[in-house]
Amino acid sequence: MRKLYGLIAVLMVMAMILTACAQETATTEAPVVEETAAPEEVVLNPYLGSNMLDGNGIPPTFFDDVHIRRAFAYAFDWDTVINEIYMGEAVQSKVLSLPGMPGYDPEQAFYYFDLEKSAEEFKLADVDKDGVPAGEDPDDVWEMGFRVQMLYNTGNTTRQIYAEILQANLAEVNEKFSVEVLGLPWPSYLASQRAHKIPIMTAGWLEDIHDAHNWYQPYTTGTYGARQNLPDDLKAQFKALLDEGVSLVDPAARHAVYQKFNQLYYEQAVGVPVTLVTSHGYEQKWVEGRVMNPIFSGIYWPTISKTSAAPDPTTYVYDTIGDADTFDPALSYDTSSGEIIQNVYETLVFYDGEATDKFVPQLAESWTISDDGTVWTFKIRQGVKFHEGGDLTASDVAYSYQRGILQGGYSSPQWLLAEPFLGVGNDDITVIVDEGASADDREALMANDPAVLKAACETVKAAIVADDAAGTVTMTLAQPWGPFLPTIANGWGSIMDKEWVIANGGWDDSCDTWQNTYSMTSADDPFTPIANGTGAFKLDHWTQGQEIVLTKNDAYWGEPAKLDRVVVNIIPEFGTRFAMLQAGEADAIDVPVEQRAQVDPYVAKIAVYDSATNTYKAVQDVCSVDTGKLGIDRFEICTTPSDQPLLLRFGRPGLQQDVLIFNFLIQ
Amino acid sequence: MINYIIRRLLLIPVLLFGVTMIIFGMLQLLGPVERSALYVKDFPKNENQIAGIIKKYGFDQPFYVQYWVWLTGKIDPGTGERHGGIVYGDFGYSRTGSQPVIDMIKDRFPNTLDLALWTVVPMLSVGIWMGVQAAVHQNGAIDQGARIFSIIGTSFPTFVFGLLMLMFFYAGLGWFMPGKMSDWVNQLIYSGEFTQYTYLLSIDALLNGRLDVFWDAMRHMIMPILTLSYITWATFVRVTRSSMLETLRMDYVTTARAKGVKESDVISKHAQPNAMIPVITLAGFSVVLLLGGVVITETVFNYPGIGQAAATAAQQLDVVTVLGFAIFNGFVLICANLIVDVMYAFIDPRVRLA
Repeated sequence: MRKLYGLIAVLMVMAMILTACAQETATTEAPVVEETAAPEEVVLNPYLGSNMLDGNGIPPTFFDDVHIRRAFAYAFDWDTVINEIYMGEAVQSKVLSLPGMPGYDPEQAFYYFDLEKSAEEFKLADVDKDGVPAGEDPDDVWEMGFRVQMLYNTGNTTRQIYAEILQANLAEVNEKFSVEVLGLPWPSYLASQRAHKIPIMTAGWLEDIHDAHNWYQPYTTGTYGARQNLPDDLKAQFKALLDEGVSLVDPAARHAVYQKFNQLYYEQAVGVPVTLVTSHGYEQKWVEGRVMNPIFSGIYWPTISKTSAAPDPTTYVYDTIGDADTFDPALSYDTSSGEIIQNVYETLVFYDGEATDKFVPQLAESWTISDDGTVWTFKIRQGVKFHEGGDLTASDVAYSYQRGILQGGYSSPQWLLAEPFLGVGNDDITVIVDEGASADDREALMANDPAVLKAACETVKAAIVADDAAGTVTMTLAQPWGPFLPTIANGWGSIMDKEWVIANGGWDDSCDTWQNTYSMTSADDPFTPIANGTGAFKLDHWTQGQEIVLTKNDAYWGEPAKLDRVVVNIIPEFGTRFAMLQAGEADAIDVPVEQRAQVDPYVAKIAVYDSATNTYKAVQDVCSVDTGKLGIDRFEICTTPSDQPLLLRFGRPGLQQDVLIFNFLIQ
Repeated sequence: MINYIIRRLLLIPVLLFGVTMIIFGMLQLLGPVERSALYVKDFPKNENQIAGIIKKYGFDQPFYVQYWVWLTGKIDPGTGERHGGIVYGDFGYSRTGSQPVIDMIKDRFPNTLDLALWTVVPMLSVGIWMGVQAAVHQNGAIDQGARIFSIIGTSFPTFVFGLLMLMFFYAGLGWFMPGKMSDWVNQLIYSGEFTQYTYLLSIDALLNGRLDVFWDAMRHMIMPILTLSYITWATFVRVTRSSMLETLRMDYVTTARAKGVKESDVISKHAQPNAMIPVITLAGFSVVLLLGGVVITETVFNYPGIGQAAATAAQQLDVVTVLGFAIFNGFVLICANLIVDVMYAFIDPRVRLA
């Protein structure tokens, strides 16, 4: 007994010591670094070697020389990335945006792998800023050499291989160039990035909406650009082009603006676009009717059916890696949740099949746009019922949009919806309350003057007005917004039943109370585990960490679903998922790119994407397709007998892109 | 004895308090940005997201404030509801589990218990039987065979053995499957025609008189049961064997033989009960480990137990969940140890609890 008390005492003392240490570390956060920047004790960035151009490090301003950035770009090897990491299932991205988008120009100049050009650029650089190019200056980078660390987060092989490519190629350009590859755990890597300490960052973007704005903005003025320490004048140039581009509705006019943007991005070599991964999917041969639109969150089940060859033709089983976070369509911002939301809830307009730039009416029957492009009037479909019995009205639509914008916060996708209604840069409701001081901080928001809070809510309500008698919703934007339809065609534009939301503890539609439920966490949000949409499927149950089950909505307003039941199993271990696919128990599984060689021998049929027609070609025998021509040699020696079970859908570019980003002023 | 038990039980909250303080303190060594990494899988899509997460979850608050909030919860300024607060029995919300930690434990612990229950049978019976046989036939073919067989099990990495089992019995033969149940059982449970008395699927199936459901549950559990048994047999064989050998050399065994007792009775009635005492300690320890969840086996066979969830949470620095599981596991561990100690006193009259 006494021993135990002794033990407890020791535990308490240890806890106190840890507490003390913790507070010490907590207070020595980034800002302190600046304070202690006295000349005698300069804080060195551990990733920059000596932090000087002495052959054993780089100065913090290394990458503000355009020739250095270009030299790095020419030292990158795209073919290795495409063949080694993506096994042929990727294409080089030459500009930031995707083929077919405004600003995309196939004739545009781009960087390519050329070590001689890289050497030339290094010789033109002037890192010590003495006005003499490095080729003629014995104190500069070409003669002195450099040493820098390139970081990746452990487990992210893509980032690791990018770093290794630069390491190998730069050493070949000049043996005095040394890049060290260093892996950090994800939390430390993120913290280094936030502190602007990473010299070259690899960032991957997964599009939110299918529009050029969503590709250009993050890399320059948005989230990634913010870590890059771009000089103010360059940033201003990008911002001007972005603001102009998004406010234009005419695609040709937007094309011209974004072309200028791409030219500037290329000339300044602000970053190096790497690859666009092509979409990919294995499924059982008995699955039919899958629409693979890269903008969808995962699988869209209403069109899918199974032939009678399947053991269970009415249940679709999909094994995936990640569990959902929340089914609240206004706050959900992850693919796993989005997949369920897009099958259970519906939006005013939706993507037209596989097209990413054409829209069909869904809960809106039709819509009109005012001449100046700011007023959108949607006619709401009549006779639609929510899963729990409520009727869809224009008020439900207006309420859903207002609720999203008023409840958003930065962990939600509502910043995409807030900007068109509140104006460029006003990406959260708190920006028009107190210039964002209370962003994501409900307590601080509630402390604001009630009149100001009410006014902010009234602004949103005035922008989105329902007319139940006419069955219309009128949306007035702060300015013309080019990508408005793509913005509302995704999960966060889902329509909820106002009465149901209020009855379940959601915002009561009053401008006096909206702040009380602003920026909810998934833990506090009553709509995290439940769903009540208008879609062809309804949520049957969600056993967290294990499975999500959807069942057919028999009262669906449109063409009913062909499946009775959809089971999404959450199985983190690939071997287990693969075994279920082999046993025919799963109709589709998630296959990481590293494991595809294991699955390929089971492929009998292939559907190849045809960029000319923007659709998948008819399903063919895998042996009858010359896959070497597609850039994949995995099926070249075709030994797969046609009784193998799988179909592979393959080859559509444009889901995800990686970009190497230089830090102009490393801290 | 009663005094002893009460004292041990009273100590539980004190011990758990100390444990949580240490875990909590260690996680404070990470800065606010590092801890917000749990909420973003890659770089944030909006520049302000991280700052918002730090504010929302109070990662920039001093340690004692955060610990106090975890202990007593926080009143939501908007709705006036209390969120969290371990003293109110709210273990908080698990980010990695997408549900309150207490629900996660309620969902998963019965599965772990179910698996442990059925694993104990072959683990103990076969392990002890092999150990006894090895001792009786010391240095003979049976002894060598049992030792080699069991040592292979221990040396095999669990995930390799598990995946081999999956390939052979599931993908190949189709006899047994991963997961917890087939989809038709799942539908049956949600249809309301199947009463869940204990939430242990195999037991509930028997109570409902549904042998088909029982068989389905078994088909899902056999592979993890075999894997878990096989990797522990070696320890049982070794401990049983050496304890048995020692006992067989005791004077009273020689006396029994001299009396002319049959050799099989000497082994089963005279030697075995005494040789079992160290084995019981080991068995108690193994069961405690099983109840804490078995991470690799559960992951490979996608069995939704405690271990799988706890491992995911720990990997992603999900503090709240890790603490919840630590408290729960600590509780189970202390209780299970107590039961073993008490059982000891019953089996071995020489042991006195005070």
